[in-house]
Amino acid sequence: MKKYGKGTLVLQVIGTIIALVYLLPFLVVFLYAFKSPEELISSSPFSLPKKLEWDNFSQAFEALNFWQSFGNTFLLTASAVLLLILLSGMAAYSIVRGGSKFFNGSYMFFIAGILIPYQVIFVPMFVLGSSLGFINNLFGVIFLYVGTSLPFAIFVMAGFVKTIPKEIEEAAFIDGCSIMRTFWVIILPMLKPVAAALTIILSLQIWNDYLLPQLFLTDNNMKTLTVMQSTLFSAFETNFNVGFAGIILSSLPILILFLLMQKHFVKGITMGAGK
Amino acid sequence: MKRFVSKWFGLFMAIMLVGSILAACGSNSTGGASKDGKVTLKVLDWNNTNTKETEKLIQDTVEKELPNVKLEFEYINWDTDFSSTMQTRIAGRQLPDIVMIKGGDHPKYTEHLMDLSNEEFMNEFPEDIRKALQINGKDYAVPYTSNFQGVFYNKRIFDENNIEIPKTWDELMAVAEKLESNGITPFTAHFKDYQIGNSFNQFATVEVFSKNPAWGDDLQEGKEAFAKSPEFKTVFEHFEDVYKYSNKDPFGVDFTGAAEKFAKEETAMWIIGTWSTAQVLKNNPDLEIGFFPTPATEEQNTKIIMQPDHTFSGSKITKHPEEVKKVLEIFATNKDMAKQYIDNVQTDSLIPDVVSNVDAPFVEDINNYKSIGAANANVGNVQIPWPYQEQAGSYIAEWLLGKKSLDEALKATDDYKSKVKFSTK
Amino acid sequence: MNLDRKNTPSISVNLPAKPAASVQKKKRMKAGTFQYLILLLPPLLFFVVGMVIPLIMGIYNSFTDWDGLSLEKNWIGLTNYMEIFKDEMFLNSFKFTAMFMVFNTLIQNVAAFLFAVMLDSNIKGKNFYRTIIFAPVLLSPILVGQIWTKMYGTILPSINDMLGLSINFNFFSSPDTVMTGLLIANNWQWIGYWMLIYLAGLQAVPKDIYEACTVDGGSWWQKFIHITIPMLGPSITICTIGIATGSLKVYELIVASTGGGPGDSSKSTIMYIYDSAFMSQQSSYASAMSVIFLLVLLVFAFIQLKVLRKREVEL
Repeated sequence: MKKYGKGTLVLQVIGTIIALVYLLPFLVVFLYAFKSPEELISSSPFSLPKKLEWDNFSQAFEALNFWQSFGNTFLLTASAVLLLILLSGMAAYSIVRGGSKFFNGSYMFFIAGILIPYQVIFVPMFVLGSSLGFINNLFGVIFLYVGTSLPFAIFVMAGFVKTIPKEIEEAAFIDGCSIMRTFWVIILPMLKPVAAALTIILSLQIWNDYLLPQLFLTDNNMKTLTVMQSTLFSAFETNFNVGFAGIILSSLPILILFLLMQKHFVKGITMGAGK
Repeated sequence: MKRFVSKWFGLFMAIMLVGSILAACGSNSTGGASKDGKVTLKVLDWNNTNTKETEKLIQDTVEKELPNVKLEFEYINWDTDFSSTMQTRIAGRQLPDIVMIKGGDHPKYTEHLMDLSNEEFMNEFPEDIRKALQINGKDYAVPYTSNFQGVFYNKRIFDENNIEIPKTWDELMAVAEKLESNGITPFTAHFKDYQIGNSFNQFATVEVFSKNPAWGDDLQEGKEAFAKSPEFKTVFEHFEDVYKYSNKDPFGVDFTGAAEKFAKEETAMWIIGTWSTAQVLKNNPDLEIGFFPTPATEEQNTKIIMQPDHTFSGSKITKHPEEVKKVLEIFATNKDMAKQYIDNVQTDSLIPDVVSNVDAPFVEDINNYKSIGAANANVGNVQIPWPYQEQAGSYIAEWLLGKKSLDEALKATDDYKSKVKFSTK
Repeated sequence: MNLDRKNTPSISVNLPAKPAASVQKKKRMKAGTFQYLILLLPPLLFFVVGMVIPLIMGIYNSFTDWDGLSLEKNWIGLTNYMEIFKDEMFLNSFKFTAMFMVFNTLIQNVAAFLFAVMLDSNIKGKNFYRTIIFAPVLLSPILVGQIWTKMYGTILPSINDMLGLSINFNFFSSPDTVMTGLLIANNWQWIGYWMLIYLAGLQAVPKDIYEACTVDGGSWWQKFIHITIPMLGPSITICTIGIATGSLKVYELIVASTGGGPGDSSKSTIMYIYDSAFMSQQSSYASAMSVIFLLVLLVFAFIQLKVLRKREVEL
């Protein structure tokens, strides 16, 4: 219908320029990561590496304590997101269908939480968390992520649950399903699309979060990737080649995930925002 | 099938909940004895120079002397993370069994550290070294290394320009002027990170604490103030001088960049401490680095600045006090380990009779000046805690960048007094 | 225990004939409320422990003199709050954060929208552009800070050397340009995210409305003003709120790039709160600042909600 006219050509050119500007930092990261420290000092930052220096990566791998911190981050993100989806589904369902004023009130109670980013209350969160034994305790941090992200998740979920026709559940009730059973067997599977959307958004947030793990997970084998990243460029003895190789290594998992699930990402973000 | 899944979901939920509650109740383990009878002790360490080698050295030595003890190291950045890590650990009752504490940081943590005053191994140390770290007459740490701070310079540049070592601040400025007129950048400056904070204490040590060793306490009691002190005004003004004669854009340069500049001989002098030399020599192993003490306005106050640096303390709440003490004893008595340690870290030992083998001109210089007598950097560090020094550094930066006048910067530094916790009472 | 309960209703419900159904339904509502409550309870527990109690504790702490380490804690009333309004650093950090938010909201909205328009046209290789522009979203802000520090510090100045120019690229080294530098880094990271939302909004606009407008002789500009903008209303609201709240809690990016400097020129409110609590050992004072910051956020959210409501009425 639309033609590829002059205007489109101009847009194409502008788009290409923007893309190049966007790519520049990535390019630099790659060039740095593959050069040796000696070459870094002697050559221009834009010259191609004479020889690919894989050693940077093995050093960064070690400096990041990669498998350990990757595993921690993964465990943290996966459990928190899973719990969030489940709990927000439960809350949203009972709030939407519960009917009484109490449920309405609790909805407002939850929703007020959206306005409070956890970054604003991290000091008392830390105090409470430390007295509950959340320090160096993955469960504790998962708990806090769930607690602080629930309002948003419930908000999105409730919006979705409202669109589910009541007839479906009523049919189930008549067949003798309890509310609980109805939720687990019928409603929960129906939440899939919104759960996918939430998974994407929440994973991105929790995966890249820094403040909470930095505060609570100080033990060496509990640190997350983000926290380890910040140690790559420590004040003394910084080696930028290794640092930049570390940037690539630590972003790789989520980049791969993105490339595999690009469509879902796009959907997830727009859906999470659209509700 | 679906019913099956849903049941498992419910069960999973229940386990998660119970799990998190259980975890919430019973988690204050600080390492422990494993089944084979071995005790694992956690060590919190912020050393950043050749960490791998030193870790292996300490582990091997300890394992040899105490076969049932295993050490597990954890590293952090001192300047950015030490305070917060300590605070979170203490609050969570998870202080590692052994903590490396920077000389000068002890007062803040005494409540949580093991009292070592009556341990036999503390008698290894000469009275003055012990005293430098004591708090209310009690020992809380095994002194291990010390760093030296002052001015590092490029020997070749100094020789080629026929420069004599300056002994006062004015002479230093004359040197800077001469270098600059010969087309050489006199000072390396990396104001992007901690240098202002560090130099602040260096200058204060020679200009302020040399005259009134209790200046910081007087400040706390309201008897002194930055804005009222001509000496502190001098300290601030030194920064203006350095800024004037330093490399381009010091606020865009960090430690690594500074080391690179100094190594590439782009600059002639660097006001810093011994910890920087390793990084410089990594960039240029052939560089001839010399050292002279931070010049004060009056020559009699120009002294090399010494700081007890790496010290080792035990946690008060450790579950294995006996083992911790034994490990600390190894630190205090094993001279072989101490020797290898300082060779790796390229610093000076506080263990008697342990001398570095590192053969460099600056080491020689330091040894010469040391024998004349050193000023202790921790006099100031204890009285004006690091966050305060850093904040003063920020105000100095704002003044140098034209956002505040000198008087405003001094006054702002005074005003910050209520925003920081002093470590001494 | 409620696992057992689960099966009991199913027996009773099977019995009644049709006329009794409505009565049964009422009963179900009552029994149902209990079950709904059971569903609501776990999420409520997480929320209360994870957020509400810390909030209350924070408010309580803000009236004490607790340093975060010692065992002593004394009630000192409003002292901390009185301090805050005299604390120039807090006001400055707040000013910085507010400016950061305003600029971000403007730049990110406009750029994201324009990029979306570009990707909604029929240029070739849309997927490629979209992927490139979205990619920085995946990085942690820590890495973005480190990358841009290096960009400004060495990479861009070396372009100067190559081309013989002398543009000052080191945005992080002067209080006058540090905001610009951070805005570039932050926008580079986040425009792609909001672009997707605008893109979805644009694609949801029914194409026949445009066609009808074209038939009526509407120009490109008229279409834009009368169709595109109103239809994108919800997207604009979402993006504005999202960008604004995101900017207000900026912390990681700054920690990894400027460290709040030079001087205190790029110290954000969250950063100041963190430093007070965990570096200077002023835990209660930090709590008081949190409370104030929170109040500001709430007022801000309230205004946004009002504006949003008003627009909904207009539409």
